[in-house]
Amino acid sequence: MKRFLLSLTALTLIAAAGCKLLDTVSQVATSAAVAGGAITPGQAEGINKTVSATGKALFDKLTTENEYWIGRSVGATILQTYKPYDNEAANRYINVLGQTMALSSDRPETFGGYHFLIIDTDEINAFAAPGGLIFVSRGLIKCCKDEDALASVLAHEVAHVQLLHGLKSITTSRFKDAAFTAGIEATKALAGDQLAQFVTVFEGTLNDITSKLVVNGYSHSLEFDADATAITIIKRAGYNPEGLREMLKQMEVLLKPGKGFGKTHPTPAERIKAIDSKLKGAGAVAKPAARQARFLKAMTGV
Amino acid sequence: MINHSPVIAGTAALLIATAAFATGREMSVEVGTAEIRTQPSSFSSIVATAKYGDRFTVGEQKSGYTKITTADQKTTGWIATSSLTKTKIVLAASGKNADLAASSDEVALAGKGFNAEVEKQYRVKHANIDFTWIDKMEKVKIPTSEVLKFLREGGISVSEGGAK
Repeated sequence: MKRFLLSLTALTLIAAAGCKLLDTVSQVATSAAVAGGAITPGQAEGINKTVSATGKALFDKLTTENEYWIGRSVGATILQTYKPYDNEAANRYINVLGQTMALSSDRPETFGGYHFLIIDTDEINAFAAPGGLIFVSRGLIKCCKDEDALASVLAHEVAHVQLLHGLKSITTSRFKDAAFTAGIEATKALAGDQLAQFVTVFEGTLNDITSKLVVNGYSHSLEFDADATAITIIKRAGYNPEGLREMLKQMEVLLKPGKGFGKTHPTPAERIKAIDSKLKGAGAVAKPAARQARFLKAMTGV
Repeated sequence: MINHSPVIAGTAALLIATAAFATGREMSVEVGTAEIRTQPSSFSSIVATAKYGDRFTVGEQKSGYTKITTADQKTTGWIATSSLTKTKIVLAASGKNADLAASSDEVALAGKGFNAEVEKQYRVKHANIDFTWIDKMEKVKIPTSEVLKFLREGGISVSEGGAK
């Protein structure tokens, strides 16, 4: 076990020195993992080949359970910065509307299911943690004048989950970490030093995702993809996708540069331009009295 | 084993890899719980609830759903294709099954990689990170029947089988 730890420590020190060294150290680490019984010789061979080639194979080995556990900690990390909005009726409402969007997506079920929470900030922001934990700010809800607009916000976040954008934020170098590969491949429960090393990898993975979600934002192309997918979801659910354009127009008025979506997303104008062709023929958003009344009732005070 | 009542997910690991569809072959459920529906639509009626690792013979694929039949032939219905994987799920991390899972890409072992134990250790290291609201979030369950009622009351017409 100590040999395994030493090897991994060596990996950390040497990682920046180059791929060849990385491969060598990986082989030492996997050998130790085999000796410790965490992985089989066949797996070690596979890991070493994978480390030499690409992180994609290991990304594909992430399970929906892995996604679930990553998402929980990403969500808890987000809630360190953003306080929950403790209003049961309002949160129930966005959960029903959000579940409607989730059921209308190409990924209606995840390992732990979709769950939604309002966060108590005027900042215009939203986060979709891997696995379906979705957070929407009061500031973003204020960009919505009706249920169709709010549906578009939730559909956009569901789209990020469907398209695995959070998981894809894990840096390629993470997959080249021998502790990552050994942990992912392990067929016996990790313990002691091996578990400690894997928890360190877990921390790094969370950091990759949360820094992308909160600080840097996804690439603009991923945001445009999420908008395009959201339009499909909204239509399937029976809502008017024009609600997305109306929400973005309102966001353009309220958005503060450098904060929330002003820091992490394309501008509302860029997003409107990108979706314009997909909204042809959508028509104005209808606001049946019952739908508008429940929206206003649930969002009062938000 | 399928349950005809909501099932709470425990530990499981099911590959995220795209569910490869193959008529007449078997596939496994890769989410905590998967609804078996009467039609290839998320808004259709639920005939039963399957849980992770449940394995079915699969048939045709339509509108993002795959037709399934249970081993005893007693239950047929549709499960979201995204909730299925061709990989066989091994729930017990011991014995021959575990060895097989370790050596084959066609068999996956539940509980590998990031799991409850890793979160537990992470929380020990980061006692300042509070999971209370995450646990609260997960307790909110919205059944399909409530979604359908919500849509109806909102003046939205969704016919069974026509949503996707």
